[in-house]
Amino acid sequence: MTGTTPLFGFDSAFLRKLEQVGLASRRPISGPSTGPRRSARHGSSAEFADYREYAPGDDVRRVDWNAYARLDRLFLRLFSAEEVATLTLFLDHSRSMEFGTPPKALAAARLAAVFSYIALFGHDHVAVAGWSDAVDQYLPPQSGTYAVTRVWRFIDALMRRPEGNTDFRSLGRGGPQRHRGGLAVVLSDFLTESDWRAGLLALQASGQEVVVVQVLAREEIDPDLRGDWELRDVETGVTLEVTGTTRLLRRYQDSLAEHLAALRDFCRAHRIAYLLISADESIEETLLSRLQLSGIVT
Amino acid sequence: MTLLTPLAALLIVIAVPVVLMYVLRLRRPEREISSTLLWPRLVGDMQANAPWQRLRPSILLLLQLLAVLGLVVALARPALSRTETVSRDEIVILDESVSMQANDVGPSRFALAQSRARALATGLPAGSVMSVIGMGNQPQLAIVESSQRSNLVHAIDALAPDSRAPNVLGALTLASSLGRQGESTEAVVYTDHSGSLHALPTSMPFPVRVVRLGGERHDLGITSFSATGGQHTRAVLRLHNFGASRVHTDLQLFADGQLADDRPLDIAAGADDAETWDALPAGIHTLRAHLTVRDDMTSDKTAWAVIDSVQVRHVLLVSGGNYFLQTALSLEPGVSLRTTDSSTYTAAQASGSDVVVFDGYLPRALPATSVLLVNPPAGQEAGLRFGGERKGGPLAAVAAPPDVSTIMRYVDLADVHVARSRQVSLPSWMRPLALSGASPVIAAGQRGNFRAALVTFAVQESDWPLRVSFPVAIRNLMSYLAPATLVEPTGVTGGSSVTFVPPAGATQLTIEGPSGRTWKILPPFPPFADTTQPGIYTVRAAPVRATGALFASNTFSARGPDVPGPAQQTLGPPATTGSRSASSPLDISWTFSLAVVALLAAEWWVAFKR
Repeated sequence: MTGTTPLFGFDSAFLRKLEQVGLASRRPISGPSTGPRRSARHGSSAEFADYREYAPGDDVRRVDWNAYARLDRLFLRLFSAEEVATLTLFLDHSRSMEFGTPPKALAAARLAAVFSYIALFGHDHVAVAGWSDAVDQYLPPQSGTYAVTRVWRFIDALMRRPEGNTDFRSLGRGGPQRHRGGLAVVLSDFLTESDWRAGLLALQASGQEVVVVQVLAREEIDPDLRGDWELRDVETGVTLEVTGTTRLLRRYQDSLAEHLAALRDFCRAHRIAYLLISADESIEETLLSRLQLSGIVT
Repeated sequence: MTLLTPLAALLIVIAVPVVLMYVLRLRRPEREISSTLLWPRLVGDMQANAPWQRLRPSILLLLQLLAVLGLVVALARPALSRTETVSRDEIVILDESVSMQANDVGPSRFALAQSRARALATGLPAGSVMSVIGMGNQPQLAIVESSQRSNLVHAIDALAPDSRAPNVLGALTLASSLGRQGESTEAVVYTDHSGSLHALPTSMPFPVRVVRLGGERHDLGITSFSATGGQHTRAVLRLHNFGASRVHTDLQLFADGQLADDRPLDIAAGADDAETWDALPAGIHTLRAHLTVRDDMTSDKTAWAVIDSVQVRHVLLVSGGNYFLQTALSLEPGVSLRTTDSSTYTAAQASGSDVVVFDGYLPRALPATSVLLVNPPAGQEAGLRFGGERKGGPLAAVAAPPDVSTIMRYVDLADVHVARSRQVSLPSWMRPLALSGASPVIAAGQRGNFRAALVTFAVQESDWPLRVSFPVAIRNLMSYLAPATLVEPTGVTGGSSVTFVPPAGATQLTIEGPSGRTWKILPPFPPFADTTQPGIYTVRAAPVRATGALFASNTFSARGPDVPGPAQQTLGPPATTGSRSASSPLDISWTFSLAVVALLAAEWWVAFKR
């Protein structure tokens, strides 16, 4: 990596750890070419998958003659195809991601950098889609460890330009980011009135295995808003007068917990991996273990 | 329920700003957040530009309004009217005279009287009420018909001895107005004046129990002290031995703080003595006399006197020649008279004069000092417009405001006639003192910081110089235009008042007491009565020349010797038994005060803890 390559503050020891893990998928995924990942399409690679009865026209070289000797019936041996998967990072770069100290955009960018590094060192392809009102920034799938620089520059440039309002419906619209199969990691704060359920289901419908990473700022998790304030939504410009009292802050916490529970329950119901990250968390210390616990990396 | 201070109900207007705080939109600091998604929409308006907002129901507003209402009601002092049977009316009279300071009984007769009265108050039976009267020079009602023991004790403790003679008649008259004939009323007088209370000075409708405090007093006291100036300073001091035995003592006299005389005295029991000093040096300002003997009284052992000295007043007479006027002015004590011819008068000549008298002459500009215009020619100056002459006649004095009325004191104009006088239009600051027909002939007034007086006729063309009233009027005019003294009298008994005669132009008087405490007196310079501390007081006028004046305040024993009498004696009609119903208010403002505290606590909890 050159001197102009953003390093996102990672040291070499952390990067070596990332090189030793790989992205996990809960079901076989299909990709554009052969690689280390299982494919849902049965092929000719060495990993046995299943049997089925012989039908006229099948390749007789795949008949299990030992089974025929025991059962007097013709069975065909089926193998999973080892394929390369495409990891698409859906990065929310709306204005709300600027919020927080440190900003959520920085935390999301670092997470995206981690995912891309793991994928590229795992011989997977990595594509990046920046979205807010629409998917307006797109880096086509990149492969090889040498692509890390390119991917990280793209991520860095993307998150330095927050704009627009979060609209999950944009994930359901057609576009180059909708690869058939593959792994889709959606990084967003999910603080939007747009229909995030529809957006996530649309990604699933396109055949992608979806991983949700929700990034919230510490100020959103535990707001320090005692006293009289006029709050202004950075995306919509809507203002709201509040008098920060213990009761109001308790109501806010309840509202936040309800929102998080709704997202978490939805993900669980639709076999979507879910991870909540606070923007002020130390990724180096906790991320890998949390990703492994969530079944996102192995 | 009644309100003891109903005017406090007007404070309900405080509720208006409280409501306004809810109607006026609060200017809040803006803060950006990532999303308003999670914030409850009910907490505020979505529009922040309008200065007013709709008054929404608010528990805080309700609590605050209730707190304001409770506060106003508490301040209005609501009281329940209760009727209770009063079985006994007690009226306690405490002698506040100077002799009650005697310490023949410890710690003093007055303290003992207070102690007895307190005991009476704390032991007041249920259903009884007590009133307390301080019998000083001005009898005062300390508390009226109270059954609250703490209030009674507080009122008794607030009384203090007076330096002046007690007004026994006034105190008993006040007591008689409180009592009710035929009811169980009794007055108790704690005093050491048993002699003067052998017979009641007024008809009392109830018995008066006189409790005599103190025993045989040993007291040699100064009863008066005065001094006069002149070529020699003379002083007279009078003493009286109030005790029953002969007293030997030294009498020391200090002149301006320096010991001037020390003479032994031997005064027989009950005897008066007068000590005089005839040849003290001139130029002394103050004298202090001190008796070295120690007895039951300490306050009458020292006395102060101020030597009366007449201030020199510089008077300039601008005249073409007026024998009568010049003679009258030159006879005035303390007046340093200069004369100049009106044809050679210049304004510079008036400099340094306390009074300039213009006789038959009107300068182009009046000097910046007090002036007396006599027989002015036609013309105008300082708002005064002099016209032609009119035929004179008899003079008649008219009522005048107090500040100028002293000019006509002891001046009888009934037999004074003038041949003719000058017609004059007086300015607003000048008041007429005498008229000839309908035209003012004598007038005076304050012109800024200076005074001016006017006589519109030539004294030579009247028979006034032949009357006694002429030199009296000239003396009064000089006293008004340039007062000879700043304070009168120069010696008072503690607690008595002095009056001021501030010089023309004075805007403030500063009084410094014996302890260094100062008072500032502003126009119209009311009498000063805060003279309870004995010693020398200094009075200075500002911004005029800083020639201060002095006066002395003393505590003199001014009554006869103690007459041995019974320790307790009941005078007046015999006691009656019975009871009466009295309606007394029960102040319940404290309940509202507690409610306000509770409401404020609830408001705090709602605002910050809920």
